[in-house]
Amino acid sequence: MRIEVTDTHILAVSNEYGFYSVTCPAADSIHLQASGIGYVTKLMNLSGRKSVRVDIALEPATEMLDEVTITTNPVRAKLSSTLMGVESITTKEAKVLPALFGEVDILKTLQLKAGVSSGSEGSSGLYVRGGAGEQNLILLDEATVYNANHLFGFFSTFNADPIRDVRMYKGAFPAQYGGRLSSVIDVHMKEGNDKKFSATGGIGLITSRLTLEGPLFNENTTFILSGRRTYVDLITDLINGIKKNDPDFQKIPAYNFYDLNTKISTKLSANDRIFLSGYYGKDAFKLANPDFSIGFDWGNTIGTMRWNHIFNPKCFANTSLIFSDYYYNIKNALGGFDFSLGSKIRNYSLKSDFDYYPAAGHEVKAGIQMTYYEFTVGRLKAASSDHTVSYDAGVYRTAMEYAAYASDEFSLFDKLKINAGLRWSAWQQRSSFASNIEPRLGMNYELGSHWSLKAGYARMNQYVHLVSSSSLALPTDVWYPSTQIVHPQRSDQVSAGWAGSINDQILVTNEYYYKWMNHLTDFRDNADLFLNDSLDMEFEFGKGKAYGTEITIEKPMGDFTGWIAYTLAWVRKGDFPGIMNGRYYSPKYDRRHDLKIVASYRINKRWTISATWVYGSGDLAWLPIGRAYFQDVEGAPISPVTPLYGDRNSFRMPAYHRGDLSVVMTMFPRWGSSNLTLSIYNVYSRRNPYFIFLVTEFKDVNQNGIQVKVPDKITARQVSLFPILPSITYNFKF
Amino acid sequence: MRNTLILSVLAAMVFSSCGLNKDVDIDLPEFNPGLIVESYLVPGEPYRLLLTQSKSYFDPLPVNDPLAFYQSILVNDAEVMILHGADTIHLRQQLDIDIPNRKLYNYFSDSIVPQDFQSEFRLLIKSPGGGQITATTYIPIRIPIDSILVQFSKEHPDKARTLVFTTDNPDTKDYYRRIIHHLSLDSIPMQDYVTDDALFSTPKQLYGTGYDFEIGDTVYNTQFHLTKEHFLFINSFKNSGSNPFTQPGIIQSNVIGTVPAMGIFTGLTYFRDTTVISK
Repeated sequence: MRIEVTDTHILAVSNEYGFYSVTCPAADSIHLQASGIGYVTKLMNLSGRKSVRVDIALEPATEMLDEVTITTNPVRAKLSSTLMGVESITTKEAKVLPALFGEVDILKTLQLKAGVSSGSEGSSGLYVRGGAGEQNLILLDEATVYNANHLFGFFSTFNADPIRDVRMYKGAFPAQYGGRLSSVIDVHMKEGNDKKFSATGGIGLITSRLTLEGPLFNENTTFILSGRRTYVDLITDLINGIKKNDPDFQKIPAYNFYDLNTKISTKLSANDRIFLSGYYGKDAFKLANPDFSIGFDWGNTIGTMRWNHIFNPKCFANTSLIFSDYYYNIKNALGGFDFSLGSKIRNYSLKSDFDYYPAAGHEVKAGIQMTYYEFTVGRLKAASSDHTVSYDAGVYRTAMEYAAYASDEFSLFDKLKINAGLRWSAWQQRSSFASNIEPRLGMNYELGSHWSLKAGYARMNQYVHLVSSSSLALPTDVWYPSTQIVHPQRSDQVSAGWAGSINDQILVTNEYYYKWMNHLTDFRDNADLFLNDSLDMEFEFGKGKAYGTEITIEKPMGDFTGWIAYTLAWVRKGDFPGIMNGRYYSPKYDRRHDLKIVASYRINKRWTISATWVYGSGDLAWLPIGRAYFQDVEGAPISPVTPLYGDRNSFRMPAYHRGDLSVVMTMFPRWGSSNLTLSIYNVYSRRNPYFIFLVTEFKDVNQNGIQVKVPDKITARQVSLFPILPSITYNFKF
Repeated sequence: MRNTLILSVLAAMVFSSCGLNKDVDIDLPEFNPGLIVESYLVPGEPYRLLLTQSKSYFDPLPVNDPLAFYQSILVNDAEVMILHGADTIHLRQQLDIDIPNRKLYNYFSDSIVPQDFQSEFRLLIKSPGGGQITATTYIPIRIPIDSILVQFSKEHPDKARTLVFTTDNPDTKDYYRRIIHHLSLDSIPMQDYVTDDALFSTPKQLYGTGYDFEIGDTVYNTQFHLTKEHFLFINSFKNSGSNPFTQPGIIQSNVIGTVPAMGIFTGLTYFRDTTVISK
C-alpha cells in the first residue's frame, strides 16, 4: 500500500505486513491518500498536530466498482522504485493466462518475465540471469522451499489459490535477502478473509482444489486452509482393479501428489499480531508386485510462526521462528532383500526484522537471523528380510548460518533515491567458519515525470549446494553444505538501466547486467553422487560470468494488459581444473535470445481471452561427437559404438517456440462466482525438442560360423513432450 | 464425473504419445579421431592387445559386411611391445579371435603373462603415423570368493538366490567388478557393477541377488580384482552412454600418447564360481 500526504507529496510504502509510518511537517489539516494496485484508493483528512495512528483497510477493486475505481498506477509505482530487476505477479494475473493441463502455476508465470529462462519443456524450473536452478532462493512466508516441484518439475509446489502474490528479485537484492546467487522468489500466502467465511476451488484435468477461509471465533482471528490433490492414482488403481485377473497385465504404478497450505493470523492487541503458516506437500510413487515392490516419496514440510510488534509510530518489528524440511525416500523390496535410500535437509531458523522510520524520507531496515541446518545425504539402509545381512551408509552434517543486515532508503537532491545496505553473513560447519560482507545498492534518478535511470549492485553468498546428476529437477537432488573443502559460492552483480512511461499507461524498461560468479560448484566427470560418504571430493570449483540485457514493454492497466519481454544473454563457466582443463564452457541453459509475448483482453465482464507466445534459442546439449570400439573383459558384452564426448554442451538444439491460448468464461450464479477456463497449450502443436539422443541399431551377422553383432545404423532422434494440449478447468468461489 | 476424468486423462496420455519422437539430421561438432588401446594382462594367458581407431559419430558404417566394419577400425602396422623387468615382449600383428569369449585382438604374442603381482608392466606403441603411446600397470592379486550360499525363498520355495562371501584386505584400497551370468557365460550379465571396498566397514563382504533362480539353473559368479585405473575406466565407460537425463562423462584412460589416444592397459585377475542351484 502507498500512502501519500497530498499536501506535501511525502510518500510512504507499507511493508509486507501493512505497517507504514509517515513523518510530515505539522499542520492543522493533513490530507492522506492510500492506494494499492488492485484496490480502491482511499482519501482521508486528519486534523491535529500530534502523532496519530491511522489503520486503513482498502477495498478490492472489483468489476462492479470499475466505473468509479481509482487505483494505484503501477506504471508510476515502478518508475519511482529504487528496486531493479524486480518482477511481481499476483495469483489473479496468473489465473487468466494459459497453463499446461490447466494447472495455474505461479512459478511458470514467472518464466514469462524478462531475464528468466524456463528449464526443459513443461518444467517449472527457473534460470535467472545466467544462474543455475540451485541459485534461486524460494521462500514461502519466509520459509525456504528446498524443492519447489511436483512430478519431476512439471508442476510447482505452489497451489495458486492460497497464494496472494510472488515477487522475484533478479539483481540489486535488498539487504534482508541472502543465501543464493541468482534470485529471490518471495511467495506470500493470503491471510484469511476477516469479514466472512468463503470457499474457493476448482476441478481440473490433473487436480482438484479447495480453499476455505474466514474469521475464526471473531474478526481478530482469521484462517485459510487450502488443499490440492491429483487423481492419477485413483485412475490407475481402477485400471489395476479391473485387470487384476489378467495374467498378461503389468500393474501400473500408482502416483499422486498433494499439498496442504494453512495460515492463521490473530491480533493479540493493537500493536501485536501473530501469524502461523504451514505447508505440507508430498509426491508418492508406488508399485507393489509379489516379488518386487518400490515406494518412492518426497515432500516439503514448512512451518512459520511470526510475531509482529509495533514499538512506536516509527518502529515495527517482525520476529519469525521458521522450520523447513525436504526429504526423499526410496524403499525397495526385492526377493527378500529390503533396501532404502533417502536424503533430507532440515532447518530451524530464528530471525528478527526491524523497520524504522527516523525522519521524513528515510526508511531503515535492519535484522538478524540464525539458522541451524541438518543434512542427511545418501542414507542407505539395506538388509535381508531375515536380518542376516545388512549395510548402512550415508553422510550426516550439521551447520549454522548467521546473518545481520541494515539498509536505508533515502532521497538526495529531490530526484535521486538511494537504497544502500550492508549484509553480513557467516557459515559454520564443524571447525570451518566463513564470513562475508555483502554490500547492496540501488539507485533511481528521476528524469522528469516519465523517465528514470536506475543502477544497482549486489554481492551474494551461497552456503548450500544442490547435488544434481541430471538436467531435470529430480526429487533425488539433494542439498549439501559448505565444508572445509566445499567453499561458499559468491556472485557480484552490477546492473543499470532506464525506465520510461508512455502516457502513464505503458512502461518500458531496459536493464543491463553483468554478473561475476566465484567458487561455483560442478561435479567432476564421472562423479559418484550416490552412496558416497566423501561427496566433498566429487565437487569441482570454478568461476562463471553472465551478462545480458532485458527489455520489457508492459501495459499493466486496463482491459487490455500484457507485456513483451526480450532477453539477450550470455553465460559462461570455467576455471574448473578437472573439467575441460579449466576451459570455459556454456551451461545448458545459456539461451542467447528469449522472447515472451503475453496479452490478455477482458472483452466484457463475462469473457476474457489471453494468449502467450514464447521463443527461445535452443538449449545446449552435451552429445557424443565420436565413437570407439571397446570389447571389455571376458564375460562382459562388447560395446562397438561407445560414445566419445568432446567439450561440454557444444551442441545447440533447435529453437523453442510455442503459443498458448486461454478463454475464461465468468459466470455469476446467486451463490457467488464461477468460471470455466479453457486452456490450450501449444496451439500450433510445435514439436519442440525435449532432448536429442543418438541411437545405434545393430544386426546379427554370421561370419564363418561365428554370430557377430555389428552396428548397422546410427541416427539422431529428437523427443518432444507435449503436442497441442487442450484442458478445461472449472473454478468457483462463494 | 469419474468416467469423464478417466477419459480426459487417457486422452491426454494418447496425445502425449503421438508422433513425438522423430529422426533428425544434426551437425555435430568436429571430432578429431584417435587411437584406442585395449589390453588386459591376465596371468596364464598370452599377451594380447586390440588397437583400433575412433571415428566421428556419424561416419558411414559398412553395412552387411562385418569384416568391413572391423577393417574400418583396426589399426595395422603399429609396433607394439610390453616391457616387464628385463623382458621385452613384442606383439606381432595377428588377428586373434577368442571365439568362446567373442573377443578380438590384432596384436598378439605367444608369451604368457607371468604370475607377477609386484613388478610394473610398460606398454609402448609406435603408431604407423610415427606417434608414440605409453602406459604402465601392474597385476592385482587374485582375490577368491570364500563361499557361495544358495538360499531358497520362504514365500516362494522354488525360487533361490545366491549370496557370495568374500574377504577384503583392510590394509589396501581395493577395487572390484562383479559379474553374474545366469545359464551361460555368453549371455548378457544379470549383474555387472564395479565397486570399491568403502561400502563395508569389515573385511568380510557379502553380495547377493534376488530370488531369481530355480533348481537346475547354473549361476556364474565372477569377481574381478581391478587396478584403480581400470576401475575408473569402467566407471567412465559405463557413464558414457547417451542417456539424456544423466551427466555423461569423458572416458578415463590410462594411456598417454604423442598422438590422440585413449584406452586401457591393465593387469587383471578374477575368480569365477559356477553354481548349479539345488536344494
